[in-house]
Amino acid sequence: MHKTLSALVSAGGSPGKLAEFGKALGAADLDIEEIGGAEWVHDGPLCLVLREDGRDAMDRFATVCNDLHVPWLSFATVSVELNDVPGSLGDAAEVVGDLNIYGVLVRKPHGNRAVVDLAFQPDQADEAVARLKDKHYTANRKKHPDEPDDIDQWDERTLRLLPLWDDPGIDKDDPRFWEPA
Amino acid sequence: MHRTVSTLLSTKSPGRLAKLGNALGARRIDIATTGGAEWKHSGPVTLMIKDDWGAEPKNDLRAFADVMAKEELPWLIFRTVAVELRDEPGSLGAAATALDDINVYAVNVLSTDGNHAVVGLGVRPSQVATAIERLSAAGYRVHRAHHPHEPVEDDDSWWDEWDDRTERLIGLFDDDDVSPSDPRFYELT
Repeated sequence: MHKTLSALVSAGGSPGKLAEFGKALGAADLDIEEIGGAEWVHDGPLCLVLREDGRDAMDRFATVCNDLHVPWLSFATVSVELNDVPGSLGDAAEVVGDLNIYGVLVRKPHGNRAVVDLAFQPDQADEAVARLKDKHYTANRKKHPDEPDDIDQWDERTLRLLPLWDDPGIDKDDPRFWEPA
Repeated sequence: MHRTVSTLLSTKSPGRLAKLGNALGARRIDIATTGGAEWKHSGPVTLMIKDDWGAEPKNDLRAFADVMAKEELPWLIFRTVAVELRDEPGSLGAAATALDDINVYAVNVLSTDGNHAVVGLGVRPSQVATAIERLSAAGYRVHRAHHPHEPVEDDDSWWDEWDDRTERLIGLFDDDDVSPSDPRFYELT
């Protein structure tokens, strides 16, 4: 399935980091399909989906992040269709309850509807889809045409590293978030 | 012109996105686009408010500020520069390079059409003109993102109190003694 990538590009922040990161992705022939994000006090992760994120592409993305020391994690992408009315995103987020949403991107706004991609822990994506469908949302895991939805090495990496977020003694740009395993 | 909001939506507990979304919905504030991620349970979300121009009550910015103050969520609002990019690897990096020392505070895809995409870059109000000049000089099709009902002005007549607020508070980003969730980023003045 397609992944949503959270990359802490602007850690410590300065003009030029987006340029450096974007050019490095381009040099690795990685095309960005969706992107969103902001920084706050010179910090902030970018949320992005690569057009091609099969095994080879993910290897190249990991190499770029390692070269630039950009911390990153990958999440499972769930696409949900929302009405373009005030409160629709809040309503959908409420439906998933205690499942944390790690990223959000609006994709394909059309007419009075939009498809929104929500990022979940890889092992919680199916539960998120089930909860949304139970409330009559049109929701699906965002499928990759050539890759299975099974947990892969990058999902395992996320599940292994995610607990580090709860450790206040671990820096946000700890090398484990960008070094190869 | 349209703006890009950056909100520090701490997601330390699940449900923060729902809380903000519901609060905005209760005030009938419609979001045109949004994007963002968290890192170590904190992270800004960028969003564009559909009605962010003109007089109240058509302009939702005051209501938005009220919500953020009530929820104690820090926020700043930037001006959106819309640049057309080819849908190919490296195009965003090349555009960001053209901006040189102008910081991009937020990025969103505004629309896609075939092999092109219009990307919204959130920059300081005081740097809008320079950002457009630099991108134009580098050969990009670029313009200020206008609200559909807003007259297209070539001068800076779009500047308003919210731009003053951003320029006043942005300096706090460089002060190590100021917390990212300092009340000045959400309190009403």
